[in-house]
Amino acid sequence: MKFSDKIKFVANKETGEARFNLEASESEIRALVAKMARSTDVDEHIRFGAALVPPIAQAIPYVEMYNIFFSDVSYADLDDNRLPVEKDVVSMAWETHADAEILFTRPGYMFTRPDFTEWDTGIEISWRTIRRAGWNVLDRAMQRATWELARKRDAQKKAALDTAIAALSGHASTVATALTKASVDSVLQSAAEIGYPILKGLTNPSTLMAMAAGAGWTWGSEGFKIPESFADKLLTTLYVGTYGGVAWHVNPHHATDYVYLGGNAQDIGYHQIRGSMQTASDVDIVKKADLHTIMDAEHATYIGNSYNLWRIQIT
Amino acid sequence: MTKRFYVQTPKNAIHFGKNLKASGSTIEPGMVVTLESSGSQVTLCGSAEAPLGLAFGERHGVYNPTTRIFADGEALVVATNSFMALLSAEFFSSGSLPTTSPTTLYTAASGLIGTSSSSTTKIGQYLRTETLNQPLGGTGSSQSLGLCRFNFQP
Repeated sequence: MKFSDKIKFVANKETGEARFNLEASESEIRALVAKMARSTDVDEHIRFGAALVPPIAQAIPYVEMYNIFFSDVSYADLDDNRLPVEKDVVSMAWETHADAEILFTRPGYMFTRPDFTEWDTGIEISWRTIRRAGWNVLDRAMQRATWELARKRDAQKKAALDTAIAALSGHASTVATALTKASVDSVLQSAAEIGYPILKGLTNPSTLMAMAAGAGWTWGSEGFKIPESFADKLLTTLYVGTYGGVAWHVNPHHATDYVYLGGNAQDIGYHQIRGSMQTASDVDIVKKADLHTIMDAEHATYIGNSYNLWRIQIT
Repeated sequence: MTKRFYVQTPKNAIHFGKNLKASGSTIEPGMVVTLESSGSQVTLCGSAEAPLGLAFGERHGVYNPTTRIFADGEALVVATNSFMALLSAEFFSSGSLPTTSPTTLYTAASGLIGTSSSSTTKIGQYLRTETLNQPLGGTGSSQSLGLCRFNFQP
């Protein structure tokens, strides 16, 4: 068993995470450690040691967040990504005389094809760096590269959400200073009114913690006590993750001054994915370095129902 | 607003589409068209030209069409003779539905329908405004459509 055979490159297109994993059972790991103790192979010692103590990172991983508002659809390279659009609706009825002839309306059909965008990234790492760094530089570099790809995909989805929300009157609201209960309640009420209730929310965790910090999020004054389970959550997490029947998603990478709200992804739009994430590596003997590239799948977004999207801006 | 055009009495209208092609990429269903001298090509009707009828039909010859506008040389159907139709305001040269019922309808520039008698070619009569419920905004929203009776005669 070669140590290098147990190191696998793992890419997760859903989370954007890619890394080198040590895939081995406990018995295999013990065998590897025993082998390392006996081995005089310097390269193997370097790689084994490098996997143990990486530098402590000062930034958290980037995890995609706006995908909760989109329904994923995958396409092969030659697939047509057309989406049907309801064209001529048949919504006419008449008061009539019994002898009058029928008036007809004929439905039609049409399609739209969202444009795909793709991103890639590359890492060049010198052989000497791998030997001298004393930690797995490539592993960390791969993670950062894939997080950056995830950030690009998120920016595409956020732009689509912002465009859709801005196109409708009343779906983008503002509140001064801090997120308030009243501002959230107002959106929940408006959404319920049109039959697309808010089911999920997305913001920065600190923004949601306004629940515990006041700004109208204090219960008890209206003549009823806050339920014990809610009080417990407020005191331990500083927010209630199910307030208003909404599944609150939080991400530290989300802006603190925006809250996005919406219903079922299937009732909002599609995230089209063509192909899959590809990786390739090469050796540059002239520059004495390894070259690695990660080529993301192609991505397109489509929002078919903007009425199911809302945004609160904290000014 | 979405452009909407419905021929309401399809059995009265003649759906003429034999050896007929769109000339130029400007024609979409609901627009007034005229027959070119070739006898097989149609273009948008001008205010001083003889109207053939209203462009009609789906773009069945195009694979998954993403626009209603017929391509240059594409097979076309024209609804002509006498029929009733519902049209949205975009098909009128003023950009809005007539406010007086009834109003005589004339040809206008660029395949639109006019209400000005400076064009002497009458094509029909505006009867009244009807309301269509559009599937928008969760519970729907109303859109005003003009109920017209057309009579395309040579």
